[in-house]
Amino acid sequence: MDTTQLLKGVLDLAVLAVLRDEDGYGYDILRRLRSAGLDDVGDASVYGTLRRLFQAGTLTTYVVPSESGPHRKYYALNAAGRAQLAESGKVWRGFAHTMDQLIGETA
Amino acid sequence: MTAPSDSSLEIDFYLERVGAALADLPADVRDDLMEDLPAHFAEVLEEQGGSLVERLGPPADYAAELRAAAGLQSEPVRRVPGLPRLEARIARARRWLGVLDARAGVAIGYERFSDFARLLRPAWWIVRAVGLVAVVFALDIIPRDRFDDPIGWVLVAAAVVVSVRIGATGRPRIPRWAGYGATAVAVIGVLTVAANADRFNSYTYTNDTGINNPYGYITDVYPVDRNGHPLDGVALYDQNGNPITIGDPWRCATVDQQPPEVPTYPMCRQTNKLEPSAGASPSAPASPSVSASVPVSVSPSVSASR
Repeated sequence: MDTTQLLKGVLDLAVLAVLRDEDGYGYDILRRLRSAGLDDVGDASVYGTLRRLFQAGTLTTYVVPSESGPHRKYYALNAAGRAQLAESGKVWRGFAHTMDQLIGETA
Repeated sequence: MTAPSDSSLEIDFYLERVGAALADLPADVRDDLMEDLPAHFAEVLEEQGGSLVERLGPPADYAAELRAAAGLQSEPVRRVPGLPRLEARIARARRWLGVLDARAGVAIGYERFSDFARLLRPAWWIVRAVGLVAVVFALDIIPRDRFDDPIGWVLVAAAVVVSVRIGATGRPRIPRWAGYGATAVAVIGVLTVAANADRFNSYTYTNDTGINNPYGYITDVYPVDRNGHPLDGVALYDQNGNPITIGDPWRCATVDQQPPEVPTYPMCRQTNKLEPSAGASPSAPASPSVSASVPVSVSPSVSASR
């Protein structure tokens, strides 16, 4: 089973989750996702998702100037973002439980 | 660690291609979407080396994935209005070429002919460099006789190095139109060299009088007037006014001289066997002298004294 299809459905949730405890900038978020075990996540997908979540009003951004190299744009959850994280998290858990049950019965 | 100029050039190139793939979006949407990309690409390059294309895939694919994740509609398929038949023809031609490719490949022991052709790419890098330099000299941008100076050889060597570097590493980047133009010029150059190989290397005048040319053995001509005086500096013209070129001009030319377009006979002045042996200066070509031992007629004679 190809995880990329699965990932498309829950990338929003994954990104929100990664930002829950610590703000991050694009590449940093990508690294965190990958080291959490989501190796297949696409570079461009993460960027696109960040922009979309921002447009949807669930993320805020701020720029951190840097002496060596370009300024970095950091993303952070706002209240709406945390609410969505909680909600989507619940939906996910329910769905995963249902799938576990299904597989458990037939496997 | 790559040199800053190299990597920023690569980043600009990649960004430009991504931007092109997103060109149908409104400018503010596109700019917003791509805002963080330069910094991101710089980090990608710093991480582990390799090129952006190797790490992230082709820019067009990156743009498509970016667009999809951002929830924007995918790029509208470009279609030239009113030419669906042309597109169908092109598609058919492509398929046909593909079949040909496979069949030709099998004939020579490769899966596809293009697999074999790909192996020849390095040879093309060299040939195209030579072709370009050939055009430079063929058009007399640098005069042809200076080829051996050794500016010609230096140019060929330099062109080969640059051509192989571009072919093998893809740097320095050439804009597409310049690349196609240079390739066209190189192809013309190669064809020109092939077609005129004899002319580039000719060291004798060619006599276009047919295969069984009775005067083919002639290397020099010694005109003599009706009184038997040897003439000098005579140019010969045929009935159409074209100079007659006969003989071997290189016997007498010094190392850095080119044979003249219109030769004057005798071509080798100092070796005139017809000069009298009685005291006349052998290096006085301007003074005709009576020769007693030679028949009084215009006759070609092979000079063997050099």
